Amino acid sequence: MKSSPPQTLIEDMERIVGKKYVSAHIFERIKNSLDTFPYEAERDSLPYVVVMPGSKEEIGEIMRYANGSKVPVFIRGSGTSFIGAARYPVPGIVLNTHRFNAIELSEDYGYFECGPGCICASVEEALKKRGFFLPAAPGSRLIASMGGIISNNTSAHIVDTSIGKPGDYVLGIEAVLPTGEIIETGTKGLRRPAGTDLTKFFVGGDGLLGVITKIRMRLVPQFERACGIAVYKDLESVARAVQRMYMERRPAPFFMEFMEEKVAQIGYDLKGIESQRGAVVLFVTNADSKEEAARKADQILLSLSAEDPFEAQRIEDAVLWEKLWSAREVIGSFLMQQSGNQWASAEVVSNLKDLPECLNEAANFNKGLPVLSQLTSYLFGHIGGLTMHPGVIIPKDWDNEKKKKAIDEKFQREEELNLKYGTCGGEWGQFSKRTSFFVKRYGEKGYGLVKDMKKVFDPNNILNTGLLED
Amino acid sequence: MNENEIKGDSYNKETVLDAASRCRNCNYCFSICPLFQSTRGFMSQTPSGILQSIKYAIKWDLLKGNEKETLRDLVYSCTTCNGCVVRCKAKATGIPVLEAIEAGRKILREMMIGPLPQQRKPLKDLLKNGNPYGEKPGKRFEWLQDLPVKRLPQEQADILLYVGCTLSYDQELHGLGRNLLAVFDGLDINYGVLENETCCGDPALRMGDEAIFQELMNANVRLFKEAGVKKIVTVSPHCFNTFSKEYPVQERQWSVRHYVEFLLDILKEKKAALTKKLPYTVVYHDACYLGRHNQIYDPPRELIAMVPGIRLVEMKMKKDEALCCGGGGGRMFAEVEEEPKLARTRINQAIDADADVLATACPWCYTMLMNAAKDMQATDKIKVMDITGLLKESMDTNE
Repeated sequence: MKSSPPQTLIEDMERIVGKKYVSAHIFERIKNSLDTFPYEAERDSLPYVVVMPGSKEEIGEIMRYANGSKVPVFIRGSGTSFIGAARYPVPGIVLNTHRFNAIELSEDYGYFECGPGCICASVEEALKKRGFFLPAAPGSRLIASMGGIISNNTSAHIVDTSIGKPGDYVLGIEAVLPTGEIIETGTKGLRRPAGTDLTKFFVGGDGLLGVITKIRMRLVPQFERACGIAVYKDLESVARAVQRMYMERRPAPFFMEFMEEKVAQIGYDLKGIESQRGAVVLFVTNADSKEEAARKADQILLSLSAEDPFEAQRIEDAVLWEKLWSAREVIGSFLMQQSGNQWASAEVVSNLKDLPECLNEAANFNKGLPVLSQLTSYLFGHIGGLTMHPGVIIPKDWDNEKKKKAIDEKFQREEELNLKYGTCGGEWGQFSKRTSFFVKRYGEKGYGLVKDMKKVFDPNNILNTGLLED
Repeated sequence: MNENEIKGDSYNKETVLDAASRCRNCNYCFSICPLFQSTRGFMSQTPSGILQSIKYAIKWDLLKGNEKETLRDLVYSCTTCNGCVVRCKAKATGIPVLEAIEAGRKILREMMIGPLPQQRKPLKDLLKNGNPYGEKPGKRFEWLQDLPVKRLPQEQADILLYVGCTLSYDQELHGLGRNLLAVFDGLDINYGVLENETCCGDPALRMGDEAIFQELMNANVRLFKEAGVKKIVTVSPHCFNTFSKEYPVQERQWSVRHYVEFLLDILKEKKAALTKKLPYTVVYHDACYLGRHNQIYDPPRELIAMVPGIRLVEMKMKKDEALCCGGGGGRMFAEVEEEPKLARTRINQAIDADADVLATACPWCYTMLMNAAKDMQATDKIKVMDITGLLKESMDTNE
């Protein structure tokens, strides 16, 4: 949908949310059209205006207005999407959730409520002060908004089999429908609805069906942790060790990361770690007591040790662990800083049975691709979640079209692999650049159901237009 | 426009475009940016937002358009606190965000779009009077004319105490200046001030005017040479940063230190000079141009902790995460949108830390925080002091 905006659009937005919460200058519109993709903003798809409503009623009025004038509305948190969901294909109204940033802990109810504009790190901090933790750990925690986390239902680096996804803790939400009505879903109790629960349409709903204005989540007590490492001669051994862990019914790790040898060596050199060379697995277990967390770690190590590692042990030295963990965390930024160029990675997910093969293919992610094969591929990821992030550094001096081609090839290869292994992305959402995958993976019928559902909620396709292709 | 200026403009544009081409729009810089935290939260009011704005202004030829003043307001709203640079280095692509924003200011200044209207007079005053406050050069040291302070080059001294414009011309700060001199005297430091001291040039540079900066720098270099200056101690972190980073290396025939590091070294040898116990709980506010710009985090804390009786506590945002007071980047000379005022937030953070003294080591931070405490009617809850005030009080045997 591409339309001409009403001539009075800006004045109308100012009337709804107040003049100070409307910005229509070109620089705000440019910044709201950019995401982490390395190519340029496009002038003909810049948003018309950015608005920052302060209440659900104001959002309702914006949605009714947009329906009446057929102007698309795009919800924006912090704009950190990796799949193009924050790069709008057509102009429209950008609805920034920044003012929905309240967080309230209700310990007597056993839950907390927060707005979609709350930043993940702020919520974590507020919960930590009271002895609770947030069941989501995105790498972008310093800036990722809760609205984005819940709309994608991403636990990010946390292993799903350990504590599930954030949606498992969402008791209910408040949302404004694309047609402007306000609804509340779920419960104020600690038991989520059995049977139909409208919450599920919005949690992991990719922002297709409504604007989340409040999120209610169960309070989860902090826990104790234990840490461990295993180093292997190759990636196949890593894959077989993780297979063993699951098949031998070990406790699921809370975090389980891996780095191929080349990547690990970069991280180790950066952090001044002298260690055995090889492919590295780092993991964290969680439990109510230190002893139980350590016991879980030892159980996992039994499986990890059976695939002939150079070393496999618990790490009790907190300083060493911090170095090891940060060696994994800094890889992307180091590679960017070393080269002066930009990191771009994919999300390849394996099934358990084919993990060795999938890991090998992820290690050769860019082979045979016309543009990406010109670059060096790096591999790391969340192996406990059978997730791999093969990535490349895209030169900044490539022309815009070549950068676009590189990003397209990245999604093309990701699609091939996730189709081959019968999986799907578990962190970044399903549509926008991944819509083609969705159609191939779940068929025209499956995709049609999503479009039909979207139409029920959003008959004029006003909200986040373009996430689904017509 | 002469050839050199054209080359300068081209260099500044290249600086912006190179940084912007490496910016990933990951937006991690938002999380530390005082501008973002004190405005309504629009994305252009952030480090990467400003950077991308300048980039597209260049690429889409918006510098001559009807939104050039919007661009100016964005580019000049940055406090130059350097938080974005630190955050980008730690978490992202490590681009010189601030250097690019300041290159943007130079581009705007060159095109007569910048600085902000309220900054134009201070810039003129810098050129005319050698200070941004519109005061006569001869009035610079009126505040210490009754004090036996050596004047260079007429007299000789081991140390040039570079007083700076703010301390010299702001009456509210003369007490701070007298404290500093009393500490220097109490420690038998052989120091003097420069008779014709002129602005270091920081405000000109921060407002994007390289030509005025060059004038001031050349004047200072000439004065330092004439006076045979070998060692400079500055009161302001901004002067310290300018002398140590912005003046060409080949011109520096002197060493420069900020007073916290200088006094710390001396007091380590003369700790007995701090005689009086002070029953204060003190929290230190990191000045951006000492901390994030020059990694001087521990010396001011060590200096405060040397004072007997003081309990040193920390605020929620400290060291490389410290919140800017809002006075840097030329913002001392202009009203910039702030809601809430950064300095007020900082006062609240100090109160939340259960401190009864908020210590600073920067005249601008002192002014910003003192004014905020007064506006908030919070002076009974928190006392804003320069570190020199604490040292003076502890050395003062007459009380």
